[in-house]
Amino acid sequence: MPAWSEPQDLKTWMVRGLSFRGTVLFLSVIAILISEVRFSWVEVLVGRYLAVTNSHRPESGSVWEQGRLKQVATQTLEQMVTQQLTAQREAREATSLTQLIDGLSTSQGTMISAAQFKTLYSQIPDVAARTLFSPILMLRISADKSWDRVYMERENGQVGIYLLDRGNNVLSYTTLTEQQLKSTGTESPVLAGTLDGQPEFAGRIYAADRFFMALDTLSPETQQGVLSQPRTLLAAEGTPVRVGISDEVTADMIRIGVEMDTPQGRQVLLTMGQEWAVWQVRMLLEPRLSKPSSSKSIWPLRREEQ
Amino acid sequence: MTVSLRLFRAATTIIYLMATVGALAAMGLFCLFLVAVKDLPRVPEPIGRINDTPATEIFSADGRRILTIGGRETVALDDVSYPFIQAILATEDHRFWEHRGVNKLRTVKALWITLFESGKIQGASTITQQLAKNLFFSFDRTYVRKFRELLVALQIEAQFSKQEILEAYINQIPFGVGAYGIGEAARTFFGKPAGGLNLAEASLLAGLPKSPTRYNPFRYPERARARQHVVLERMVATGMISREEAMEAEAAPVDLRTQGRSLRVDSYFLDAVMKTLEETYSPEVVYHGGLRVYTTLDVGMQQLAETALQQGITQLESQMDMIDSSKDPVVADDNGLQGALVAVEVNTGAVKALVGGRDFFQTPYNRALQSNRQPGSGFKPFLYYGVLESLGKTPADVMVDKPVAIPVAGNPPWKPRNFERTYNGPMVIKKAFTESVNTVAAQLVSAVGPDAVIRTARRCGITSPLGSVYSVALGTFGVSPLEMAAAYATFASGGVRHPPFWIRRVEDVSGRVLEEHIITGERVLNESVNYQLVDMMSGVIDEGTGNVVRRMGFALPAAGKTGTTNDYNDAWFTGFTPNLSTSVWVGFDRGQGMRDKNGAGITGGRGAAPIWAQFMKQATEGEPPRTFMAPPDIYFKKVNPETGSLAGFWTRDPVTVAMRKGHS
Repeated sequence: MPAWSEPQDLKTWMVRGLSFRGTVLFLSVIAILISEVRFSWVEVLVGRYLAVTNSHRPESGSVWEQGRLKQVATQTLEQMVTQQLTAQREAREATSLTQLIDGLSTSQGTMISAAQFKTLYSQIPDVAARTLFSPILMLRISADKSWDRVYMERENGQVGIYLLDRGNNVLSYTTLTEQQLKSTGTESPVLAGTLDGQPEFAGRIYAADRFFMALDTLSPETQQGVLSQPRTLLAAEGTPVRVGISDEVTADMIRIGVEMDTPQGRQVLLTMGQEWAVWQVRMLLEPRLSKPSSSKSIWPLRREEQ
Repeated sequence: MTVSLRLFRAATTIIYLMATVGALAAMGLFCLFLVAVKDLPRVPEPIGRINDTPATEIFSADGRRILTIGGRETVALDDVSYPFIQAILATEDHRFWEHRGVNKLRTVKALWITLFESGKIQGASTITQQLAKNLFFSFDRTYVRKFRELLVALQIEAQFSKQEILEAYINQIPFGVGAYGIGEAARTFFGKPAGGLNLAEASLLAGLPKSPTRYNPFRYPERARARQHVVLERMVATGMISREEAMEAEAAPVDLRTQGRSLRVDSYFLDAVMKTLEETYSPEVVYHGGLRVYTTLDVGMQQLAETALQQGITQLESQMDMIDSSKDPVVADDNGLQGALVAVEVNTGAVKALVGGRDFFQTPYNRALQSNRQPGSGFKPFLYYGVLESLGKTPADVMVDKPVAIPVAGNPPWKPRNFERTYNGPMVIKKAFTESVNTVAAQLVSAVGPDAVIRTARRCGITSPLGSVYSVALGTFGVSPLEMAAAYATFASGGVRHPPFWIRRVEDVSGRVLEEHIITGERVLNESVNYQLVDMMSGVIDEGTGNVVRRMGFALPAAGKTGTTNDYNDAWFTGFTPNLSTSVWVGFDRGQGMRDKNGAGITGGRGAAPIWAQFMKQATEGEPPRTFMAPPDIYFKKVNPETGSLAGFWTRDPVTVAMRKGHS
């Protein structure tokens, strides 16, 4: 049942449907649609709106993610390279081997030229130099001409020094402990405390007067072999109390510790002696070490109580 | 009511309905726009610089670039050949110059098909939309994602010129085989710059982005040519070329670059390099930082290794009647018969060749590094070294090959048997070693103790877990081929261990050195004892279980040891010359036994040694014979193989043994 308001004939329908307002509205919609199809103004408007608001939107999506990853990569690499360059610069500027080694980080080593290493090597005392590489070995490697660089790194609390050729093959290498490192300095290293605190001297600690009396009886060459720089000891503050001989031999060298009584308390000065020379002092200090036929000691020998 | 009135009434209703639907759709779109626009991604400017990431390049030992990762090459639109521009436009978006980011008619049609024709999905993306998708969006097919992609496309069109958009597009689309962008694609497929492409080449390339793997012209040339035909037809249909030009291009031969056609043979090696780099520098640096990585890979040797392994395994399969593995699913493993080969330079530890399986793309599992398989008798050298060093025995000392029962505390006695199930009575140690006699090895390990075996293995660089049990001497704990090759290299170098490595140097994009490998060698074995062992290992190749090596014509001084595990699950041969140490493993991933058609087991001497021999023969071709350097305290004597006494002219098959002065 049609509603009472519905037109009852076609004419009334036509009049209502094709009214001026209706026609205008219809044509307007059609015009808008055609102009959109023809000129794509909706796309242009939306596109321009988005372009204008572009800077307010987030940097998301794969291209930005790639950019971020690139940034992370660049920063990481820069950090690594900067650290390396810094280490290399410090290594180049080092005036002593001790300074160079002090500058080594645990995370990365450093590479220096063979020429620089030779310069630093020539500055350290002979006895200390022997603990690194014997001078003859250095001469042999230098003469070989394949020696190109030196790599140094910290490993397990020690410092490894590698003499390398151009192909990174190791020509020779050595590892140094903390104490050996200290002995590469030009000054005698000093440790706070007594010789008893250094396990390497256990069982080989002697009264200083006995040690130096024994040393005084030996030939000047042997004395030089035991203490290459006695003036350094003399110049040190305090009085020698006890002397310890290490149980470790490195490159024919033995460490000697001289316990000093100073106003600041007991200190141990470390120095290096040649094994053959130190052995002669020990034979005097401990006659049981020498053969019975030749063990004629003039000293009232007594082992220092530990 | 008249009929015409009814019709008019219905029409009016429909118009109202349509207007309502249209208005609702417009409102819906507007709402969707408001929602989508909120977290729409920002478009970078200029859009042409989006690919500006430095490439990470990996080089072989001789400085050849073997892999480039990332680092797209941007080619200016003016430098791209015109036929390619035409071809890509005709194929992907022939109305590109006319639309404003979206092709409305195609979109409506595609929407209709997708919505109302079940099972069909029609795409209508313009080049701008594809660019938007590639730059910002995932490949999930959702309506919201499509709408957001459309909005970004509209912005790109409003913000950049058509030339800029097209240039950005052709510089980032994937063409397959790792080639992104037209510059890289032109070089990869044709070895020429993008500006030098002719119509035939351009049309072939323009067809690839639709499905780079499916239309890969190296692998599927017919499919690629069929796709080229489609592209040329589109070009004709859009009036870009004439029918004659299309026919001419279709008939023209396409010269694909030969070097690029071959499949990568160094994938396992590169995989190992990449993993190491990722662990050291992080994936971000590796893929986006632009590193220069100089490796130890010898490309020629790698190809020889690949070929030797492939051919050796194929030959074994034919012996095992496994050519069509589907015939016997019980025998065949999922990945089929596999193998691995590692070659290490003796005096440096540099890995010269590494193959971790038959096909990296089928099974990327790197058996050369990750697979820990029992080495069997291949572990005996560690035992015999311990025996010579710790027990003071000599290769001329006599042991008895007999059934043995070694008491094990708290367990039944250990009763190892020989592979042949036969026992040959008294024999000198060298003979027991060359013939891989298990009962003698068992007696020796019970004398020296398993810990001595483990210690020697560790000194030589074996890092895999090893248990302190007698059977460790017979190789019952898994190791990798890389470990074996490197450990045997320690024997080859006279007892000096060089840790294996594959990266020589790493530089950043500016050439600043980030890392250098230092070739350290540490003496871990006594030189003279080591020489005695090497002499015994030479016997394996000259007259023992690895004699196939000599039969195959490998004449250089060499030493090695075979290894076979229970039920023939693993076949090993590891051996070396003074320069190169190589380990070969063959077996199934799941450890099925290997037997030939007659039921005979595949041993190390039969399965792995021929592969080793083929590889070493070619890898050392032209090398002068170089013997292992004998230390000054070594002398040789010929002994009776059964009694160990000095051999006379009447002694049958005397054995030459290396003796140490003062240790006889």
